[in-house]
Amino acid sequence: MEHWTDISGFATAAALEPVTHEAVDDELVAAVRSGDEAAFALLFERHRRSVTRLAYRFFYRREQVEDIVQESFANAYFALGAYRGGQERSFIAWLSRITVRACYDALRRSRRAESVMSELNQEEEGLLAEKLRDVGKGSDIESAAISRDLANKLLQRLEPDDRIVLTLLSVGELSVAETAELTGWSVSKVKMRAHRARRALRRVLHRFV
Amino acid sequence: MMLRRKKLREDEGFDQVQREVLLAVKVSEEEIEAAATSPDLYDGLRLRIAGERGRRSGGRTLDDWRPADRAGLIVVRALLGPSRPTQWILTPAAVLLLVAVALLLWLPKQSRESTQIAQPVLPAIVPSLPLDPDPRALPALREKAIGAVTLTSNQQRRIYRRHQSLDNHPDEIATDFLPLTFTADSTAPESGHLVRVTIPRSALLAMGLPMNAERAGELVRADVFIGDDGLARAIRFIQ
Repeated sequence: MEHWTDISGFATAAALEPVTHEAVDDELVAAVRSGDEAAFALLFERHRRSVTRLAYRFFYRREQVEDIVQESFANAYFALGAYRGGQERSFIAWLSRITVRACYDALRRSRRAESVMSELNQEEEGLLAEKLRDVGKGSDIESAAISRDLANKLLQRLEPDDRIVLTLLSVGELSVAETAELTGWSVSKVKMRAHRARRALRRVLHRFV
Repeated sequence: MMLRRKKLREDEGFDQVQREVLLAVKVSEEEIEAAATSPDLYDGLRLRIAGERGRRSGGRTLDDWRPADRAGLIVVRALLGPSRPTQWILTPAAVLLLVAVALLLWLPKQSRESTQIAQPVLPAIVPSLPLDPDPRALPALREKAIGAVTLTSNQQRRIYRRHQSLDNHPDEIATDFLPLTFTADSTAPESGHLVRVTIPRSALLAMGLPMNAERAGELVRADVFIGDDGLARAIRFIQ
């Protein structure tokens, strides 16, 4: 399998110098384990952009994204004892998996809490149908912003498992194997989920197109 | 055969729509950078870790306290003593006192805020850019201005809460707030007002936002967040 530095599709800088970066990360992790809080601040500084980028794939409100970033790093902090590092897996791959898990949990929570809020009203349904018919045409800034809101509302109708898989495969452009590693699922489960997710999204879209 | 071809075309159409919907949720690098470099982010993380650490250990031990706090705690413990019966009376009394003080501080603030929102204020849009800027220079101007004006997460949260409370129109679709990039002042407002405006699309250019030239004459409805200094800070579009 390819090395883990580019598993999330965003660690391109790390991929250029994998050995150096991983060695630095592993040293910082060792320092945090021995009680050096400043080393954790450095780890945060090195990886906060990657984690933010990953969180933005699932959430579009900044406060939600910041919440996920904090939760991911906090979870990583308390799980550092389980981090093996070295040749087994890079720190960023390990952290990405924790972030995806945090996103998944948050999606499940928000699906329960916002099921009413995410309902589209009649006006929105009409607008969505119009936008879907105009797919591929140029758009203005307000139109793009509205499209993003509508797309998010649409995706909220999917099961969290479906959304995780579709986002990682389609938006993150990851392979099935990489998605399986990030989610902790088997390759066959990812394939099956992806198939179901596409069907589910298609059912949702069918209503509007 | 005809039906199969039709179904194939339909499938391709749906695939394209799916891709477009999934790609629509992508955000710009500027937004990612703004969230990742938020000054509150690391402080919030430290608080979260401290809270979680306390929860895991079932409350803080004396060793976890800072020296000043530890000294205070020792004094309080010496005064109360572990076996004194007054402890059972003083503790609930202290809690009640704290709740009363918090309520007293909180209530006037709430009423101040609601009065402020109710006041109608006209947007004082004072663009520092020329009204008809060179379109080629727009991306550079926009980038420069984004660096100058970035709403902090707390301010965005405040605006979000405020627009949620003002928005009770089920037939309206509103976008997130976009920071207005034409304002040269880098000090973001602590509070302000939300004003509904209808402006020609051409005015978006003056605010540093891109515009489709073919639709320049059309009107756009928007909510503008005005700071206490009278400058427009953020805009969201209504449809």
